[in-house]
Amino acid sequence: MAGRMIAAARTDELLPGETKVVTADDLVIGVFNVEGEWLALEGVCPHQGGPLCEGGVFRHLDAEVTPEGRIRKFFRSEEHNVVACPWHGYEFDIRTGVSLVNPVYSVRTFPTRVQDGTVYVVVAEDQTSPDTESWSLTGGEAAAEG
Amino acid sequence: MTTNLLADLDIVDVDAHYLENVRDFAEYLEEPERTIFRDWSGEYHLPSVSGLYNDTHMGGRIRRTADSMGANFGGIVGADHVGRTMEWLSIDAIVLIPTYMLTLGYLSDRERAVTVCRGFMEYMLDGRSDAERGIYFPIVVPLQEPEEAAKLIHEYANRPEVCAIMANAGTFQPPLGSTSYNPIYRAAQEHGLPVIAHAGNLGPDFSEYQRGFQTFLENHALDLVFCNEVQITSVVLEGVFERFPDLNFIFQESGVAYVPSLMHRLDTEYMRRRSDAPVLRKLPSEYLKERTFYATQPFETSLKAKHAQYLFDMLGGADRLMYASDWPHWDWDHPSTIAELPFLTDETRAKIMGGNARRILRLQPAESREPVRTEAR
Repeated sequence: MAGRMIAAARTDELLPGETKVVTADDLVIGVFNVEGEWLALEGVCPHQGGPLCEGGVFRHLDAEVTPEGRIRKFFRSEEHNVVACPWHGYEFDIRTGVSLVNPVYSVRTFPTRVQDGTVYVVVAEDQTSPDTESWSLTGGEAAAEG
Repeated sequence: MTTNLLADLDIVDVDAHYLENVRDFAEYLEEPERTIFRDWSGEYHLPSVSGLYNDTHMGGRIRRTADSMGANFGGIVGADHVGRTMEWLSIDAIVLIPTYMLTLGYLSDRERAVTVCRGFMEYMLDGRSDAERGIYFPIVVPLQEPEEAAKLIHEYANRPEVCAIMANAGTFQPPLGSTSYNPIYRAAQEHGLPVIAHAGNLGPDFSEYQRGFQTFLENHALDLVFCNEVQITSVVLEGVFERFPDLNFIFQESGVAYVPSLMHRLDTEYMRRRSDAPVLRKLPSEYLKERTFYATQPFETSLKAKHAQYLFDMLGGADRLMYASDWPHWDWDHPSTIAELPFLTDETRAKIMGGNARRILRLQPAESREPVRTEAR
């Protein structure tokens, strides 16, 4: 794969559920240990440019309408797999980077590799510039127009 | 005697209070309520949808730590944090709106309301504001006592840190168009101070229309807008702008999308029922386009840019808007939210981001605060 490998953390540095934010040139990337799985997500929130990965990781709260017409809330899994921006609480799926309220909006995800006790984030050639344009002026237009 | 009597009796007390620890209590709930209760950001009380006790920070999703410029749940604390916040957000002048004073309208003790407002002035002037550093605040007026409020305005209006008078619009009766507030408006106009009407976030506990709402989302989506709509309707239709031809109003914390809607409602109804408002000399919207300003936060970021442009035009253009952050509250807006709107010109952007506020709130010119260059150093 073309691009670069960013050494983000040692494997013993983050316990399951913990996060580390790394910067490499013009990129901000959050690295997450989710139940032993290493995941990497762009660290700039598309809403207002907040530090997306410096907040918390949560379980995915969902709800359904019961046959009686009542609302029943539930967690989709035991796993903490939703990243919330600490500025305004906007939520994104930790694996896909997709917003939980509108799939048009998303942040980029990056593959990871573990070699010799180090977690690397793999950044492709075309992923070197962060997408910091705001939610309403890019995603909003795209959502409405196309 | 009594001791013996009580000891011999079988006594039952049917009302003594046990204080539940909500966090401990949460462990006995089923998921997901267990997690929701455990992580609720309110201080005490069962999770509530009202304006005062709700889970504004959504179970820890929103965070205000020491890293967040020292801001706590309710507001910025201390002059140092004000300065750091300004630097962080690239803000050159800031108007500090109080937090606890927002509940002033709940005070039915009129004397205490006056005392508290006077104390607030001294509190803010004691190193918590500084015009030289661009840190201003409004005179919070006790609407319960209009004559005393007017005295307060006369006493403090000339302080350079004072930029406006403020009425927390949500909690007072009657609404702000009432002639009972004439002494306040007369004093404010005399000193060239605008009226900041800060919407109140009261919620279903205090609003008939919202009673029965299930969530804070329902409450907050409507509450502050509804509050401002009531106050603007009262101010315009009861003729405040005819009574006080040089008085300006700044309505805060309801975004901007409601303004054109309200203007058209008022104009349409006024044209049908002119005799209900005979003091008016023009359409309600014409007064609003000359005399009122709207703080942009919380800006409706769901708007497409071209619709936002139309909306700005409909409410009277860039002359009517003032950027506001509402930091550190949960629904705050970063300056880029407004500054980066693509349809703004250099001129309209400068007006909304600072120019209108400097002019109407009589702030010192931006250039006067720049460091003086000297050859010697």
